[in-house]
Amino acid sequence: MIAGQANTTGPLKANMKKIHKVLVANRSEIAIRIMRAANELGIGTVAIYSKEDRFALHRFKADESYLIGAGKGPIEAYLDIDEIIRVARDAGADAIHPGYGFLSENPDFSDAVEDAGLNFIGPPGDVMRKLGSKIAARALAVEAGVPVMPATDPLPVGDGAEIARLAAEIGYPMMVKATWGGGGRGMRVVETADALIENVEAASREAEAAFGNGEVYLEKLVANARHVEVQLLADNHGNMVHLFERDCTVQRRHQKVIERAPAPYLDGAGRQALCEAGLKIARAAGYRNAGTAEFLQSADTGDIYFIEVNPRIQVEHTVTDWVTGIGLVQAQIRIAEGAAIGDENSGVPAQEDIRLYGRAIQCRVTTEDPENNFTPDYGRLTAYLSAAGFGIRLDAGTAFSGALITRYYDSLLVKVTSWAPDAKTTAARMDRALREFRIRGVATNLRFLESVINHPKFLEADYTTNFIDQTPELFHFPVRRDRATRLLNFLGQVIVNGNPEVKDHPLPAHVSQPITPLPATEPPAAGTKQLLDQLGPEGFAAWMLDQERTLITDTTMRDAHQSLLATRVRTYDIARIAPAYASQLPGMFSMECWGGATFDVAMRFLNECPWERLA
Amino acid sequence: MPNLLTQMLLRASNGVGYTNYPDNVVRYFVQQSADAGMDLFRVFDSLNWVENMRVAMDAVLETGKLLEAAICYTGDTSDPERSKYDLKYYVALGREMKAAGAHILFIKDMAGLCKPAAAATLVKALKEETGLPIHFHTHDTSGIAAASVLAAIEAGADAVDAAMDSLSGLTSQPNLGAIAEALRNSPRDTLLDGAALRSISTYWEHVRNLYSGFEADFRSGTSEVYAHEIPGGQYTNLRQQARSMGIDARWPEVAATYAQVNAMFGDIIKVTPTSKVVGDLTLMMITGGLTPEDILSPDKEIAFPYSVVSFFRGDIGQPHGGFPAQLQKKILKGAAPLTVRPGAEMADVDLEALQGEAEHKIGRKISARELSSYTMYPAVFADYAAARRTNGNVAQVPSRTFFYGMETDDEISIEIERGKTLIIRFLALGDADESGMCTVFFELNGQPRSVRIQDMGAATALQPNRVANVSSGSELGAPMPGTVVSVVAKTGQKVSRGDTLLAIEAMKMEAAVTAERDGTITEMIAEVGMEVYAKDLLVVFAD
Repeated sequence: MIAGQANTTGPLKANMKKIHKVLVANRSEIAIRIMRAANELGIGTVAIYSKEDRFALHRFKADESYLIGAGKGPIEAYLDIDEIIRVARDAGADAIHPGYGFLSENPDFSDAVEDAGLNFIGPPGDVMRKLGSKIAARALAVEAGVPVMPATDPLPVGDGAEIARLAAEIGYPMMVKATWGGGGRGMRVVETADALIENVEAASREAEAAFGNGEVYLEKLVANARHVEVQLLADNHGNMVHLFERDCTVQRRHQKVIERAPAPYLDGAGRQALCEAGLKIARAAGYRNAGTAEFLQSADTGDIYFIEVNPRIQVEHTVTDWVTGIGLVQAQIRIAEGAAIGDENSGVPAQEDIRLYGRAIQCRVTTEDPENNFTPDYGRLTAYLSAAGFGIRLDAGTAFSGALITRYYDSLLVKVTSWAPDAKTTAARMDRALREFRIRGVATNLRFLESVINHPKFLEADYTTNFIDQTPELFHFPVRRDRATRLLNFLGQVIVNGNPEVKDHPLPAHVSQPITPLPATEPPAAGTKQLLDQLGPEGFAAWMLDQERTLITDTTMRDAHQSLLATRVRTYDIARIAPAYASQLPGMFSMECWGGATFDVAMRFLNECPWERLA
Repeated sequence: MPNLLTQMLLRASNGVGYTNYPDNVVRYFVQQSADAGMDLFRVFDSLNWVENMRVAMDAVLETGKLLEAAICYTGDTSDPERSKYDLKYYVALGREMKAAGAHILFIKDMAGLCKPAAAATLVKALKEETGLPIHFHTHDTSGIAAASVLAAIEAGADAVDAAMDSLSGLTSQPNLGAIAEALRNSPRDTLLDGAALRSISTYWEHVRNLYSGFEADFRSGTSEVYAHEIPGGQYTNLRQQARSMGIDARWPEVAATYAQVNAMFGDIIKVTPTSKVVGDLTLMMITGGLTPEDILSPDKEIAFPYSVVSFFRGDIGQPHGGFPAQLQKKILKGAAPLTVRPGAEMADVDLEALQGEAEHKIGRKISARELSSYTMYPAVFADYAAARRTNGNVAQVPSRTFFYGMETDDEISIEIERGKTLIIRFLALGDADESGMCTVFFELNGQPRSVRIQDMGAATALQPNRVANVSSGSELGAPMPGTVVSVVAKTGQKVSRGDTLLAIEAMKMEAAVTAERDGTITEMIAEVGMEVYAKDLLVVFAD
């Protein structure tokens, strides 16, 4: 796309800061998602990438891309505010989109971007300060009259006694949570006092690694909770709307796995109350741009509790895109340009014109191995065939055959979103899409996602945040057969190292391929097998005595090759000629084809199952 | 072959293995085989000991399938000098087998020793005395076995064994097509279609070419077989063994020694597994320069092969006429031999427990048939299952590719399931890297695919981390690949089960590694910053 191309949605107002070129301060799927949105608006795109990401796909989806953080770590590269701003200026970008994670919730970044005269696509620093800290956000919610969970202030990490005292005030079970950031990182459940300090420290280390800030706090845990969140949009002119809610209850260890919109368990009044609570907080904070207010809902009472506001685009925004028809990233950009909600050029209608159309589900396909406790896997994707078709949207990062998945980043590979007018079709469509994937070379959670999608409790939306952890059958799925990969592995072995069975016995120069006779068009005539069924063994023996003709047993499939070819003839060659015997020699007495040495040779030297020879 | 009887060879209590199995293992195997479609069970005992065949025979009768009881033929009924195995012996055996429930009697001339006149007399006598159908089988090691087949047919044999032309002759069965033509238009015409036989034989001819690596490389029949009596199935093996031991040039000596061993053993039936016993001692005598006098002499200390000791202990069964007492005493060094059926001494195995053991060993559920494989060949089955896990169902790979791989630009198709075909083209082979891994490039159904293979021939420079031997109970391996980010326990420290020892991080998720047992850390291998793969050794414990 050429930067500066005319905006197709109408003339800009005089006070608008038209964006011509945006730098995306992120990587992987969300960077690509933002570039696509910008592209459609005729806005030029600039990517940044760490050394580890030099072959990552987001770099090639941008109009231009620049290496950052040389000599720094793979994460740190994306956290270097000064360098990112320098690159943006050098490239002539007039705006920066932070995506999610990394610097997206860092108020200093927002401020630094604005101070540099660039447009930050997201809320201003002071709004983030009010909300980005989960603790400050709670205070705000209390002020706005929205119910919250009991929680502590930031913990004095290192002061075990004080932490224990604070914990006792809250009461077990509880959560340790990172004050900054999200995505389940830096989050732990603490059931008992003796596990407290260990979890606080681990969460703090994780938060430090993921967000560059190790601050954590404690929060009371609600049993039987659903996780539901409201999508908010606010412009620079004081207009605020909600784009309804998303259900994110299906989580594994506080990481969202599957999200859907709208929340299937809410009725009209419940939805209205929830969305209104979200708006109240946004108003109290003087919110701007896109944000999400997260709530827990008690499945027992239906009561909602505010948790936090995420002042950024969410991983799961795709489902909202689809059920409202409003592209959230484009809305972010237009709002940053100064468009007013309700005006045609903002792309966001007034609240009363925002409606829900159908149902959407998003699954996060990750390179985690569900058979090995969801350990992140990495390596080269030897094959990547994705799903497509009606009602399926893919937001992929570096996902293609031959792509290298590094160990340095999040294990999210591709987000699959399905849409249909009703919940049942949406789930069936998702199931179909998941089954359509062929990903080889690294482990993925595809099978696990399939098993969640097809679980009756998922289909009936009868679940809480413990659903995955307390439903062991979700982990009972057949192992993927990966038949092609395994056979290729075998062929590779033979090509590289040879088959030890024929070591020192090269193939003779002139070997013709055995020609299998054409299959018969008629079913074979009845023979001795049918006779045995009819007569039983004694009657069959009597029948033998009555025969004048000589009855012949063919030993080719057993004794002959056992005697001449060391029993090595394979099922492949036996099975191919069997139909010819049946159709052309129905008068044969019997076929000796098993037993003797064939049994162990099949397993030992041919790596075949002897029983499958009989199939 | 939905219309033809399928038949198998069952070594009675040895099942399809080489040792005696508990009775319930044999019964289970027979049930499973019948269930898998086996119609005719040819049951034999390597010593013609009917007592030892009963369990297998009863199991077959229970399935309602055909029971063909085999009389192993040895000696020479037409030679008045060899009275041990005379006509009376065989007829008595036939009666005993009929009484045991046989539907068909089978003459198993595994060495090809049954001369035409003997075949005719034997068939006639057995048929008259038992009234059962007679099925005749021989090997063409001598080169004139077809004459015995025709003589048996002439004498009233109801059925005979033969092999398709291109896989017949020598140690195999006589030529099927030739027998059919020889009988054509006679009262005993086989009524098989000659053209069909020829076209199927042509198929086997091409198949045989693919297996030329396994040919024994004999050119002609040999009348020597009447002297050494080595069964057809063993003959090629034994020559192969002699060749690999570098004593092929002394083959006549091997053959003569084989006959001597048989004589020392009191002239026994030689067929799997007794033939192996004779063969083992033969090779030991040749390589050890031992004479029959050495073997028999009570003063000469000899370490007999295990199979020989086991045979004389009665593990295979009781030979006709008993064991030579002196030699048995020497071999067993005074230990008491079995005098009853070995299976009678063996307790039934707990199949359910065995299934659990097998499933634990190979890490998946197994079918009833696989359990049966495991009961006979536990180690072989486990190896096979492991290979299948890595390589998939290689039985679907065309034989040429299976044995000889692919050349650049070869394209093959593999049908992995009805209606599902993989088309695979081999594109290129990359050079081995410093760790000896090379990349093999394919096109799978038109899409590029590659696999990484360790080149066994390449010198490897990379020193990988030690891998934990988890089953030792004292070694703890990494639960996932990643980087060690903290180590809190140290060498010499006493720890309890559940104590945190260290933490590994990958993709920004941190996992604590805890002690799986109480004990003292004798070696803390993990250090901060260490890059580990799953299962790499982290900690060693002692009690």
